Amino acid sequence: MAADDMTLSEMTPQGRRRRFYAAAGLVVALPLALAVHSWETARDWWQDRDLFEQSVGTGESVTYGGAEWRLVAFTKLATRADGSALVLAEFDAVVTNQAAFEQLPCNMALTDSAGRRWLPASLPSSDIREKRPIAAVKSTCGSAKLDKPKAGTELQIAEGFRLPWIEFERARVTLSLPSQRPHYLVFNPR
Amino acid sequence: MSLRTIVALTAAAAVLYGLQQTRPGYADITRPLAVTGVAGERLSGREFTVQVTNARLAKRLQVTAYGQSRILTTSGVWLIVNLKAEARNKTVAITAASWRGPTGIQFDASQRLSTFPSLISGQRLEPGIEKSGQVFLEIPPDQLDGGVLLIARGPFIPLDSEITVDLGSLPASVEEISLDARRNGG
Repeated sequence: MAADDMTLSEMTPQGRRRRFYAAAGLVVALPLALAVHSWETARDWWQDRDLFEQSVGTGESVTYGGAEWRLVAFTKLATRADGSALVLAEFDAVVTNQAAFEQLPCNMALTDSAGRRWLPASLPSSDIREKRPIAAVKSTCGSAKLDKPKAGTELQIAEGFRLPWIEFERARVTLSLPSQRPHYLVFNPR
Repeated sequence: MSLRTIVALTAAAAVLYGLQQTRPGYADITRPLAVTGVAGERLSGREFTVQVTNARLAKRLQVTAYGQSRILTTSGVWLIVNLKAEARNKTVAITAASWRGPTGIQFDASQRLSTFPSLISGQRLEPGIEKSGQVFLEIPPDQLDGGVLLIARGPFIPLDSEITVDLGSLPASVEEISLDARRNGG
């Protein structure tokens, strides 16, 4: 009778022990192989998600992603016939850590209580000049990062959005930067 | 090796061979998820909604945009689809529109009008703000009946929605349709 055809009761104690260790090894090796192969995917997923919200009150400053951020203005510039409003969010940011700050991208958005998100939009410069002329020369978050400002640099940032005008009063501004994710900031403009 | 073992191994090999032969490819596993409907119906995909409001056929287009006027002829027929679209959860853009004929041949939207202002693929869709736009396609006449319009966020976004719209019976083709950017969303 070949060894492969033996039942467990017919095997020697050494043979049984060998089979037990082989089976026990599989219990360890399979999850380990799975963990090793999926580690990078799991890490990327974790670092690409906004999972932990940090609320920032009106006028408050908060250190996040290599800078100290403060929302200084949240303005409805104009409304349009399709029911949309052109909105400008303005920030003051003081760079505290250049390496952390210059990491791209800069994810800024407006959100409502239902989780809907409006991403930055390019607004007509005539609307900005008319209502917020001071903001016409401000950089967007992405372009400010591309300049690679050194620690201590004071930045003035403005991002435009287009959302239903009825949502303007309820909208909050979110800021999510790669060096801090999955943590992100939620500014309440009111 | 006993007869029982041989039979078990043969059966296992046959099952594995069957699994290997019938395994779907990566493109099949991750293909877009179809959302089907008809013209006039508001169809909801994962990220946006679409409602086809009107479709017309013409042998040529007279296009006026950016201070220029030109005639666009075609060896097939122009299909102009008017539609309304809106983002559901976040700002998105629709960049893929095509026509799948009755034999399965797919025709992408014409690039000859890629800068026309009312093109739906040139617009950002925002949640809560409905946008009107157009799709322009050039199609051989024999591929019209029984075909469907396909709208998606991109040419291939795995497991994303693809809206499939049956336009029903299309009106007869006219000689020429005029498109003016100032009146068509420009």
